[in-house]
Amino acid sequence: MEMEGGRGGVTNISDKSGTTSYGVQDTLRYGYSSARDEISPAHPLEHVLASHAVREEALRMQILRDAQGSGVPLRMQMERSIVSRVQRLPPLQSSMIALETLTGMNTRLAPEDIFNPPSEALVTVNTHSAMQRKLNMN
Amino acid sequence: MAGAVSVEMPRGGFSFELCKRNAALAAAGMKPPTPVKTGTTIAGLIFKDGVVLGADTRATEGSVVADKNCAKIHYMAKNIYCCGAGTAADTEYTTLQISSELELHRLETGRKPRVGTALRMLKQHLFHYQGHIGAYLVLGGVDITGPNLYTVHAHGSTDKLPYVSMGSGSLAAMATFEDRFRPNMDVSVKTFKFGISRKSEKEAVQLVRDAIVAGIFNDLGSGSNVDICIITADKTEYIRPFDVANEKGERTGDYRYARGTTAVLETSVRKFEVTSETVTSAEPMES
Repeated sequence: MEMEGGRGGVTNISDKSGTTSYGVQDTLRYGYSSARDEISPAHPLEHVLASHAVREEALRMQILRDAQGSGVPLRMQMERSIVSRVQRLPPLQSSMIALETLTGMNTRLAPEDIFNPPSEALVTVNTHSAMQRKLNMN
Repeated sequence: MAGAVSVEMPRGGFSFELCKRNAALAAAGMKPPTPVKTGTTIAGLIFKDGVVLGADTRATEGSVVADKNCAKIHYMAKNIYCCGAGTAADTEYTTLQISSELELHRLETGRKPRVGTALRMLKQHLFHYQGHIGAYLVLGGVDITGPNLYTVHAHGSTDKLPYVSMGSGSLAAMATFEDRFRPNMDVSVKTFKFGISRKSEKEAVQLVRDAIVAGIFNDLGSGSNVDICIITADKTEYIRPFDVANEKGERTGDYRYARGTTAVLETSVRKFEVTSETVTSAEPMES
């Protein structure tokens, strides 16, 4: 089951790194482009951080399943999917306060809370395509 | 990049945007700046009534002393403190973050935080980052279970021991502990002050002080002063500096000339009379 929003994985927003504003390779700064560089992560941590939340959640659910039977994780996933359904429409940020209370993330502090907050991101979200994406129209 | 259009709102957290550029520049021969490391002696021990933590105060940047009096004993909670060795910024911000989380945890549960809780948070945080956060810590505190003392390595492994040391001077400090540590350090004669047996505390504090001083004098990465933090069930004492190991010698002679050393041979005073004043406005320079 995929949960939208909430905190956790850090996605790489640098998919355009290495190119100038004209969209060509910035050879002086980034060296020659290579196919291997484009698909491999820039830093060994990048992949770990991106997939950590999902892996941790899966592990926790597996432990619960082993210890208390499959009903408990199912019930927890149901609760979480109910509260994560209440969201603002895409270009607006959802606080996901109910989901964070359920998962306990509201009492956690992570680099996501401190570095590069989305509220200060210099990225404009295209409302139209964001809606299309949410509604699985593309 | 300003004005970039994206479909998804970006998430916060670390940005790896410049990693590839930095790798390319390093491959082209650029030397990246080195982080400040605390080549350090930090140590702690459990005595009868609580925990004593100690640290030196030198921060190094390669072979250069970057800070002669930096604080390496960090606040975690009122009853928990944490000494940090390794990359200075990493120890500083790891302890700051976990200390904030402990406070949130305290508000959530309404209980005094346990040292084990802090330990768990620290090791999970450090393990998450796979050793890229260079924080080597000595965590000590007194909670409902009594005095607790742990070490945490940058990759997330931990030890629980009655006396511990970390950092480049850890061998010197550990040698001192191995020589003189006794469990439940206490003496027969007790002088009570504020309900704490001062004498047992004194022996433990003296041992930690000696361990840190051993690091200061025998390890080049450690130096300057000794900081001590004494945590007991009912109070916490942070003494900084506890001891100045390398007191700078005082100059015995005064090399400045006293006033009037040079004889005045002749004095003449000339008085000027101001006859007129003109004010001219300056033109702004051409741009």
